[in-house]
Amino acid sequence: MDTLLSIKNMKTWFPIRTGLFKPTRYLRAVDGVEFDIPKGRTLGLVGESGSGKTTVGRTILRLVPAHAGRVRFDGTDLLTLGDRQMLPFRRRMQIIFQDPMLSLNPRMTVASIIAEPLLVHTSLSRRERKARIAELLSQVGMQPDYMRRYPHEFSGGQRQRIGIARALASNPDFIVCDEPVSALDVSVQAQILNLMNDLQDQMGLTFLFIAHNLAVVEYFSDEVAVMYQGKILERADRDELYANPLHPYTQTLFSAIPRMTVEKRKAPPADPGEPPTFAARAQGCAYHPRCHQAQSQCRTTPPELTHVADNHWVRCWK
Amino acid sequence: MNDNALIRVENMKTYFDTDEGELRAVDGVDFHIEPGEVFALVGESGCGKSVTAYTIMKILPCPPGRIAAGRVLFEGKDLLRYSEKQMQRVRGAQISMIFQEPMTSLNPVFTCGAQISEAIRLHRRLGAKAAKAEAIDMLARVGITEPRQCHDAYPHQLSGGMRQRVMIAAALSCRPRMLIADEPTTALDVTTQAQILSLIRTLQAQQNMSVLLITHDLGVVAETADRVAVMYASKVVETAETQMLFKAPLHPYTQGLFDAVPRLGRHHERLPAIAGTVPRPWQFPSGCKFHTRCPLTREKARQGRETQQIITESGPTKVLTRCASAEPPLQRIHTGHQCACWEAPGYAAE
Repeated sequence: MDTLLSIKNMKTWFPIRTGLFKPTRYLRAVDGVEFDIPKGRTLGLVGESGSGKTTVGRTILRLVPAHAGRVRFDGTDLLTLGDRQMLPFRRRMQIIFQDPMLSLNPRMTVASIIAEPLLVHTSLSRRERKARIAELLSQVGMQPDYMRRYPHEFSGGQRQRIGIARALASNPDFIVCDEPVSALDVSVQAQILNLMNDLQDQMGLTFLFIAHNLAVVEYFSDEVAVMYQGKILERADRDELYANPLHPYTQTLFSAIPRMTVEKRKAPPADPGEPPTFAARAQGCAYHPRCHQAQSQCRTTPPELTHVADNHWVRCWK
Repeated sequence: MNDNALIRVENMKTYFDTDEGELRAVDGVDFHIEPGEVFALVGESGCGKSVTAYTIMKILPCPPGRIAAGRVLFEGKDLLRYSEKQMQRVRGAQISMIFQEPMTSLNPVFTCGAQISEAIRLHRRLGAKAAKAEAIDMLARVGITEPRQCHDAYPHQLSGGMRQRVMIAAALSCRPRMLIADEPTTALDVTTQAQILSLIRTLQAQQNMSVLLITHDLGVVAETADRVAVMYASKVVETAETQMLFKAPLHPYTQGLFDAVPRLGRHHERLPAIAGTVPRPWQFPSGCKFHTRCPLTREKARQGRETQQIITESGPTKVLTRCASAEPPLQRIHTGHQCACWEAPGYAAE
């Protein structure tokens, strides 16, 4: 299968100013991430808040500058391109945000929101644009005459549909979905997930699906990567990862999900820790302060991402 | 009727006067909570679950809010008739509340300790020193490993999970009879959520306290609640013991909610979504408020009973006339299980 997106050793560090003459320190939001996404497939990126998953998506789209690494999109390294050279790639890469209320301009009508990518990336006439907007709206399951309305007139699910229509407007190949359903109610969440699934089938879209909900990620992804403190701790095909999670952190995440059954209540989780702040970065394996299986080696030397089974990678000494 | 109930909410109606007209946020809600029981109120955003809690605590902005009818009997006394002064003696001392986002409900300019001591000094009339000792003790009880440091820390210095623990410490410092927890874990990561839920359960059992847990997450209900009420469009549509509800939900809305949640290990199927969207409070449909989205009434309409045509978001559909015209009251189906649906099995229509 063709690889659409290939990321090698990507690092996104944000400088922290400590003082005029003091050395600049860095917050290593993304610290050496690598993965490939084949055409038409979905990679799910899971992690707690602050793990760097959102920054991965934004770095790929060059919304934040990368510190090092390579982002190869359809054969071209995006990180070496100038802004002008980047423009044709921007048409092919889009993003859907978590909170549709914050990502839609409240003073623009639905038509002008969806028209923006068309104005930038296409040379459609006024009339053609209008027809295209109507087509996009019906594609996401909305009535075309909604285009004259404003975002506040819609419910959360409908707003997310507008956000999806905007992302589809420029006919992209690749979409970063940054927590697209976590702000929605369950009954609506299911509709949006189904819609995104259908669109992927129809248009052969490739997704990077960023979420913290493991059940949603399982439903939606072909392959899953688990992130912690800017690094991928485990990556595998979905069925493999969910059947056989190897990293202690992945296991903790699974055990923390509330089960939808009342047969027996779980014991409190074995992991007493919390997502750490970046200031308190540990030596050795980033996860060792919370890990109940940590050994002396884990405290001193960071493990590498190792191949353990067919397309199953783990960053752990055990 | 069993009157061991710690709190009994009867026919509660809370309306808001808005430019678009009267908004019925809570429209005739009944339930009770027994001592030492964890009772969950589940529903999607806008169904009225938080307004129910705010009405019990009487912390609604009035106007535009207005408690139009009902009684809230707490240990037999109607809180809705209490003066503001009397309510102040109830809040924090007998009924406490914790909120979704601890950062917005803790005061950023006071230390955590000061915010816990405030309640202790007010309600238990302790001196500054005794209150501080009590606050540190409380912080230790909610599982904070360094309670002394935490006592002197400001909220922004703590993580989300720690802040929620501080909130719980403040809420429980006066040993209330009841805790209202409004989406206590929604803003937290899953691992932290599991810790906070088990903390609430442990403290609840230790103090034999009742908990009103407000959430949109059925997983959280399964983990914590003894009994559940499901709310839809300002009303309770089903109430049951948690076990019963999870085994055999009766209301089509509840069934739809269960089906729509993605669960581990079920990814091969298409998600059965509930059609349409939650109606807005000033556009509630007539009859049963769920009939515009209800799969059951459509199915029954095909079996040749009296039907009528309605227009939904996805076009015209046939539904049962009764569902579109009359609202079903909440009725007992069997012991410990009530439901408000004309077509639910066992629902006796008079």
